[in-house]
Formats: sequence, C-alpha cells, structure tokens
Amino acid sequence: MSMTEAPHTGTLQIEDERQISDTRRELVLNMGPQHPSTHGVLRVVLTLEGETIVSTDPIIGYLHRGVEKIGETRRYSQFTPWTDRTDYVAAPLNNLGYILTVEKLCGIVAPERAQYWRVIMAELSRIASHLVWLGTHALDIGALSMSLYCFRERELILDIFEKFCGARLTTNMMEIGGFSRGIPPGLVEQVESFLQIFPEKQQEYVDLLSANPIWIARTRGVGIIEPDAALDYGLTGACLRGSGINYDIRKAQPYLVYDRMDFDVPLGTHGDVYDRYLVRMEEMRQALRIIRQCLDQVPSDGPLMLNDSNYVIPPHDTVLRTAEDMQRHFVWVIKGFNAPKGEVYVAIEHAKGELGHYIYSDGTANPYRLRIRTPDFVNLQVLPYMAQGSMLADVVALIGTIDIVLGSVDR
Amino acid sequence: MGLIEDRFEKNVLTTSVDWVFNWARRSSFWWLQFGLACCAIEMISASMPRYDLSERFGMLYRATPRQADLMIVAGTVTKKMAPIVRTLYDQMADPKWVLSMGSCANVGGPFDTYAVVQGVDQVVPVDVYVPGCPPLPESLYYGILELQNKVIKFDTFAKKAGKSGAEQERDRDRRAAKASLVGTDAVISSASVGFGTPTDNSYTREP
Amino acid sequence: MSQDSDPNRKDQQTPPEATSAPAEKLTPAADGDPIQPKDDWAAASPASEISTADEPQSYRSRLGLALASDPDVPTVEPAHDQTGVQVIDSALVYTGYWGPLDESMHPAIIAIRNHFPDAIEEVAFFRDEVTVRIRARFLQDVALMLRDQPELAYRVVSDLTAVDMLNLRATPRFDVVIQLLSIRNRQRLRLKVGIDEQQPCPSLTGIYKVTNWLERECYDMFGITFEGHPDLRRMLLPEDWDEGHPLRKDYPIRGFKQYVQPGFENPAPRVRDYRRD
Repeated sequence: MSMTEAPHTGTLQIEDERQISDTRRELVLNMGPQHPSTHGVLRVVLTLEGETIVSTDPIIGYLHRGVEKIGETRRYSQFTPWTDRTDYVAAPLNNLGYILTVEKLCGIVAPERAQYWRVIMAELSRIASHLVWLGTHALDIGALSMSLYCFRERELILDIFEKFCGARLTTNMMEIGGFSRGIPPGLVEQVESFLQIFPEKQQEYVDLLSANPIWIARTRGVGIIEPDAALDYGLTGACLRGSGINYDIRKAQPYLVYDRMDFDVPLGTHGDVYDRYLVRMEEMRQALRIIRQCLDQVPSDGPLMLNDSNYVIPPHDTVLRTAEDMQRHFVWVIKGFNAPKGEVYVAIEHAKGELGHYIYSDGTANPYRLRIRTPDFVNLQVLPYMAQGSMLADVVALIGTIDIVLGSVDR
Repeated sequence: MGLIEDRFEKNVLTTSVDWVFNWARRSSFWWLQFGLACCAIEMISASMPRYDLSERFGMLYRATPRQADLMIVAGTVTKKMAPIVRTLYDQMADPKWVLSMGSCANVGGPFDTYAVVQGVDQVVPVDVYVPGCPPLPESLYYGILELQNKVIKFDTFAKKAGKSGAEQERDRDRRAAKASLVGTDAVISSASVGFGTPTDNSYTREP
Repeated sequence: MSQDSDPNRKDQQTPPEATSAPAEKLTPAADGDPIQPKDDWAAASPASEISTADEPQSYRSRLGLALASDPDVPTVEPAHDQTGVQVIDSALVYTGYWGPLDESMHPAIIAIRNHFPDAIEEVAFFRDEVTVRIRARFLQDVALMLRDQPELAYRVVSDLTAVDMLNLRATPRFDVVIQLLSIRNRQRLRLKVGIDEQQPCPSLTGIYKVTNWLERECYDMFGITFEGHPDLRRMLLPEDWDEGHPLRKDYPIRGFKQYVQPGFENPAPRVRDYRRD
C-alpha cells in the first residue's frame, strides 16, 4: 500500500483513513519528526486497526549530514570531531572506534597506560549513554522524575570529561597513538569520587522503577524479540543480549585491555522491554566494576603516546623546543601521513551495540572510503517487527528500548 | 534579577501595566521542544537539575507549536527537515522569537555538505544566535537573557513607533546579529574544513 | 612503542611453525607498506575453537608476537617515507578474530571452494583480516551456504556497504562490501562483489533481514540497485531527491543546489559564500 504524503508537521496527525473492506478499517497515523518522544527527528508512519498496529514504517534521514562524505575529504587525524557528532551522547566511544580502526590500518598500538585510560573513558561514556537512555525512556513511559535524576548523575561524568579534554559533550579526546596531553592532576580522585557516588544513585533508580507495578505493566511482555529474529536482524548490544544471546565484543573479540578485566555480561531471558532495561542497568554496574579495576591496574607513570611513529603526532614539548619536531608536526597536521594501502574493519562494543568503522585506504592521506556502521541504524530495523500486533501506546516504549540517537542513525 | 534598571531606555516612560505585561512576556517563555541534534542534549541538560532553565527562568517546554512563543533551533537543519521547521514556525502564534543555538543552526556548523542547510536563518528569521559546538548551558542562558532584552526593546519600540516600527527595528537587529556572527561562528566552522582538500568546482550558486 | 615490563602479561608463547608461505598474500598492501609480517605470525591457531575458560586469553599471548627486545627475534628494517621520518611498525598483526590467514586453512574459503569452485575471484589478507572477492552471480548461494553450514554459522551481517572505485580502476565501478560475523566461532569475514554501473546486485534480504535497510542505504548513496529487494527507495535523503547519489566519487561534497525556502522573502545573507572559488 502506498503512503500518502500529507504535510508531516506537528505531533500526531491523521493522514488517511481507508476502508479496506466492510469489516476492516485501517488508519494511517504519522508520528512526525517533531515529537516529544521520538528521541530526535524520527518519523514513524503507523498503520493502525483500532488501537492495534498493523505495520510501521520508520522514516529516517532528517539528520543526514553527509559525515561519510566528509570523511573522504579530511585527513585521518582531522576526522575525529565528526565522529563525536554521530552518537552525541557517548562521544568518547565513537572516537575510540574510529581511532582503533586508524591504528589498525597503520599497524600501531598505543602504550599500555593510554589503553587503560581509553577503557576508563569508554566505560564512563557507556554509563553516560545509558543514563540518557534511561532518562528519556522513563520520561516517555511516564516516570518524569527519572530524567531529572539521570541527568544529574550525567553531569558528574561530563565534569570528568571536561577536566580530561576540555569539552562536555563533543569530546574529541582520543588520538591516534594514545593521548598527546597528560592526565590532569585531580582526575583520578574525581573518577574515584564518582565511583563512590554512583552506586547509591543507581539504587535510587532501581527503587523507583524495577519493582514498580506501573513500570512492569508497561514493559513486561512488550516488544518481545525472539533470539532467531535478533540474529536475523543483525541486532547487537542490549537488544541482542536481552534476548539471551551471549555476544559482547569486549568478551568475544577483546580489544584494548578488556581481556585483563573481570566483568560479567548480563543476559535477558524473555527479550522484552523489561529485560533490556535490566540488561542496561546491569551493564552500568559492570562498567563501574571495570573502571574500578582499571584505576587499580593503571600504571601511574609511563608513556601515554607512541613515539617515533610516522602516524602519530610528535610530542608537544619537543615540538615547541626543537626544529625537527616542529617540522614533523607541521607536516603531520597539514600534509598528513600516507596510510598504508588496504582495508580494515574494526568493531567495538558501543553502548548501543556494535560500532564498526570500515576504512578503505588507497595509500593517500585521506581515507578513500570511510564507513561508519552504527548500531542504532541497524537496530532500528527491528521496530516494525516488534510493533506488529502491539498497541499504539507501546510504540514510545519500543522506540525507547532500542536506544536510538538520530545523529547515529542518519550520520 | 537586579539588572532590570539598566535595560530600559532612559527616555521612554512606560506605565506600570505595560511593565507588568512586559515582564510577564519575557519571563515566561514557553519554548517549543525542538531538538534536532547534539545541541538538543545540551538544551535538555540546561533544563535539568544543575542548570535549571525551567524553574529559574519560568520557561517551560511545550510539544505543540501552537502554545509556544520561542523556538530554540538546536542542531543541524537538513534539507529534508527544513520545510518542517518552517511549518512549525508558521504555526506558532505572534509574538514569536527564534533562538538559533549552536554552530549548525547558525551557519551550518562543521557540515558544509550536500544535505545541510547552512544556517536556520535561511528558513526562519532568527533573533539571537548562540555560538558554540555545542554551546555550554551557560551560553544558552546568555542567549536567553539577550532575548529578554530584545523582548523589552520590541515592546518599548511598539509603544514609540507602532508595531511596524518595532518590526523594522527587530529586522535591523537581526541583520546586526548576523553580521556580528561572521566573526565568531563562521571562523569556527570554516576552520574545520582542513587543508589541501580537493576543490569542488561544480558547486554552483543558486540561480 | 610500549616496552613496559608488565608483570601481568603472560609469557610470550613461541609461534607455531608455518605450513605454507603466505607472505605474498598480503595484498593489497603493495608498495606503501614497509613491513612484511613473518611467516610464523600468520599461521597461528585458528579461532574456531571456542574457549570455555571464563577469562579469555591475554591478547598478547594469542598474538604469538615476540618482543622486539628479544635477541632471538630478527629485527625488521624500518622504512622511510617521503617526510624522512623512520617508520617503525609495532605491528598488531594477528588476533585470530578473522580466522587463519591462509587460503588452504581457512574453513570458510575451503567450504566456498568445495561448493562453488568458480565463485572466488580473489582472496586477500591484510592485518589479520580476510577478504574474499566473489562473483556476483554466486553471492546469494555463497551467503546461504555460509549461514547455514553449522560449523561456519555466519548468522549475522554486520555491515553491507559499497566503495566507489572510480579513481582506482575502470570496471567494475563499485565494490559491494559485506562484513559477516559468526557468533559461534567469534569470527568475521568480508565478502566483496564487483558491481558495474548499471548492473544490479543480488539482494540478500531473503537470507538476512538486516540487509533490507543496509541495501536501501547503499542504493541511496551509490545508486546500486539490488535485485529482489522488496522496497528499494531512498532512505537517508528525501524520497524525491533528484540530484544524484552522493557518495559517488564524481559528486561534489557541497552538492549542487542550495536550499531556498519558498515564501521567505528575505533570508539572512549567507556566510559561507565568501570562501567560494
């Protein structure tokens, strides 16, 4: 059936009411791009029969900015800011995925201390992303105070990011080869204090939601994804683990220092919205555990950045003091390095699933093709599958449980 | 707020009733919840416990444009989204203001590409530009305080010169705001272009 | 290069002996790549055995990589590039996440050769990744076989995208790239299909449901049509976008037209025009 192109403005707008037969009437409803619950500019065209959903058609692209095309016109080191803007609630994880891909292409490995700090920042970013998810998801379902609590804790994490790299949201913190600027004094104490504060705050969320009969009534049994369908739809992250499939890239194909960390991977049993909620809450606790171990194990001194590599920015002190390194810095920034010819695909465990970067390099200073495989884009496909046969009021819960960020869906 | 005395024109007398209307109009902006991209997260953070935009400033977000008088365009406006922005602006009732938040809404931001409108002021008239990528919540506050100044100015001009005179002054203010933006945001956005990029000779100006 | 003496790291295991010489197979890293990894690095144990231990092995020990400070390890000649800076490659070469870097040992390649002898055009290995180039008419059969064989079990398509090879070769113009993932074996595989400009690519929507949107995006960005796709329409750009397919190499990044809002008489002056050539 064809969708009519009525002006898609406002929130809920009735587009068309069709009478298919004498006994069946379908209503096409447009949940427009500007809607309080669509987490950004997502448009969902729903076909309803009464209150039951017959089919959904998510229409995306309202935030398509051409990031992949930009990647073909920038040097490898210049592209990191655009990765912040794809998934803007968990920017360090995006940076990490891209930087690991470039490092694999160039064949370099960051020093160990830098890897530990990368893991700490990545896990903090994971917690920050889950807090935004929880706040907006609960807000959509009706628990208004949850959003206030979650964003209050998120401010603590953003303070840590600001101390580390200068920016709250679009951090641009990972660099090829490690970190070129040192760890600021007081950062370790700030992270430790966050680890002290957060568990009891998370207990507040649990007290508010996990045994709440309203929450359970709205999320239990809603949006069930069968494990086979989860694999077919290529789901990754909490959507996959909520259906019981044990696949976490940090365990299955470890990168950085995750193979030295001791953490568990939570799995759901029913594959409904409530299970995915429990999985993400537990992931936050496991992230705290990982940060705790990293802080215990991280070497307190040591190089944070590779030396003597063509692919890495020269150290700041020698750049300012020696002519040779100043030349190298200038050439590295302006002309860029010629990456080896080849193609790599590196996937990391982003907060929302598998974030993969595919770089095809033709030996020049710009990537020939830079592809960002975002978890949201692939996970959003499962919305029609989940929504079929469910009620209209559940659609916001379903959109929330996939955990989408439209910058990441549309790139 | 102890800055009220500085904001009035020295040679304009206002009655106390007008002052009350004035104060009410600027102190209770109801903004249209219209977050597009990363700036939306900062806008949400601005209305959350640490920077409390709602309770301190009397601002409230409304989901429908019919009840809103301020549209904060936070995020990148793409060509697919631009007609919708315009429709929402048209649906808002007078008096209405537009605050362009962030680099993308000001000049297109770091995205000088085929799919992005280079600034929301190509779509709707903008009163205040808040630069940043994303602007801190404190920057957004500064923008909103500037907007309150503009509300006062609009009302006092409406008393002096009538509604059309006030509209002309507002238009001049918009041009001045855009001109002063060229030094800030355009530099930030253009610096992200990089060097040695292949020149795109096939880009044509609009007819 | 990190040469920390870390007590946590397990001792380096000596790499097993190689059974064949895969050194030439490191295409397409031809003239730019200074380091040719040694034979024994490439022939480490295949990752098809699933570790039942709670802790995965330390990744350095799985690398089979010797320390550069070890006196028995022959040093590799560092190369120079145009800036005159020495390139020292502390190569992260083999992690085992893509299977053995040898055509005669990789189970997926062996299976494809057994079932469809003509399907494979080329096999490439680069930095422990395995890329198999398949002829277009075999794509659906190969994918079905890779998915349904219980030992291979490539049940998940991680990504399906395309690369416009306009600047690098004449035909075929596009390379459709498919990243496969096997959760059972924790292995990835990359398939590549060469598609020409007007040639339709066989669609994988019948086999994997995830490719529905991925192929739509590919069509939107490159103009590659997928034969057998139920609903091929534009996804990221407006559905009535008539200005072409943006990710092609002959498409300018700024596009062709600026946006003009109908009915808006005096928009603000544009800022970015001042840099135009």
